[in-house]
Amino acid sequence: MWKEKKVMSMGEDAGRLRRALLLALLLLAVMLAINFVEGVLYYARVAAARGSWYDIEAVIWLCGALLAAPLPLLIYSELAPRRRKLLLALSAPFLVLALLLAAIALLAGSPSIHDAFGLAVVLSITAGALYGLATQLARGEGA
Amino acid sequence: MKIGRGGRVAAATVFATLLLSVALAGALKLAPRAQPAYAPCSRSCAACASASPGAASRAVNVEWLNGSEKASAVEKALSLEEFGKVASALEGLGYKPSPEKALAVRFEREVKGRLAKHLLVAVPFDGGGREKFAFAFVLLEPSTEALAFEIDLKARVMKLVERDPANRPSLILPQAKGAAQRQTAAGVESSGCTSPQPNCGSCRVAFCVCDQWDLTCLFQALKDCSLDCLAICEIDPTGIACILCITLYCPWIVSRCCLHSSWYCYDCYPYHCHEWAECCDKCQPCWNDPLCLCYPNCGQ
Repeated sequence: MWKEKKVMSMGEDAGRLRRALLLALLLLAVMLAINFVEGVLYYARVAAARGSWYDIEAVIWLCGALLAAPLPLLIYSELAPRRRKLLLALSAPFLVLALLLAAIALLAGSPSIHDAFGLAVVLSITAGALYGLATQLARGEGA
Repeated sequence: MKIGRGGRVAAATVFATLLLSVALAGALKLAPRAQPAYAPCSRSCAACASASPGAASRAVNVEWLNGSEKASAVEKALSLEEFGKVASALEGLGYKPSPEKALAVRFEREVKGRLAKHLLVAVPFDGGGREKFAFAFVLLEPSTEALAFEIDLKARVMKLVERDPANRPSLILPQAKGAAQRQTAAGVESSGCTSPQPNCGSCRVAFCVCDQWDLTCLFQALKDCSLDCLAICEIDPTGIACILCITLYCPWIVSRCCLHSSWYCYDCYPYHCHEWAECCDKCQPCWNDPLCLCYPNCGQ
């Protein structure tokens, strides 16, 4: 009887811990989503004020938001490994968009040397991340 | 959104001070600037350390316009195409012009070696709440030009939002020629010392150091950088993109929040020579100067 109660209590504790963890992750995902929307709105405002959709300043902050956008998907993929491949594939468009925007801003936005260096770094890390993503998808992880 | 009385007083004070400072800053450019930022180290490191930049000032004629003269100047400024362009940029950020609160000032300053009369009109913009407000400077004489600024009282940041014409050096802010091209919407200009490198003498070495940061931007940059690198490091199994993100992307994003950089003269010894190889080369003459408290221990 006593042993049965103890097992039940441990099961309840684990359940509570799991729920708390899920809630924390959900909150993090909501915060990240807000951060992304904030980044997009900021981009729209700056691009409209400057009259150029590839304005360096606007693109830099949008690239930041785009690079962070896959994070909720990646967190969710840890929780649901069976859907990992799909979630990894959903992350790709954000990285591709960041890559394209950084490339256009670098080529057409006439950046300063300082900004050109930064955009080149953004290009390298985005390309690296896309390569990593492609490798994982090709290996069929979590398929 | 209504601006409180305190906010209005603070905004009006900052606004009038800015207008006056633009006029005075331009006029004070008449003073000779032959002295280097730091006097060379002639006798000892102590003498070098105590040397301060020389500054001279002279009285200038600044005339505030009133009545019909002011009304005419303001009307002319509002009808300018340049003003229309910068005003639309500010309206895009949610501000509305308040021409009834406009100020006009006449002053003299040197342009290409000749004294020229300037007529400047400042038009405040409302709509930024308690902590933000905006204004446009319109230069009517000797040539037409308009600049739009936004001020964040909380962050203590003034940023250049728009200028027209954008393809020629500003007569109002000649120093901002390069900076205007690098301006950012966050009011942050890229770090880097625009002034010439000072002569620190043989005992000291010059470094460009950021001495003013935009804290709001810094917070945003650190948040963005940590989230971005977390995502990149999660995706990239090789770790190269992750390392690049932490070592290059984050410092670059953070460096964009530097508002102002200045040259500083640092002693060659005790620690700078150990940290930067370039310092060793710059400090070379110092080793041969018996009056310097420096030691030839670079690279040891």
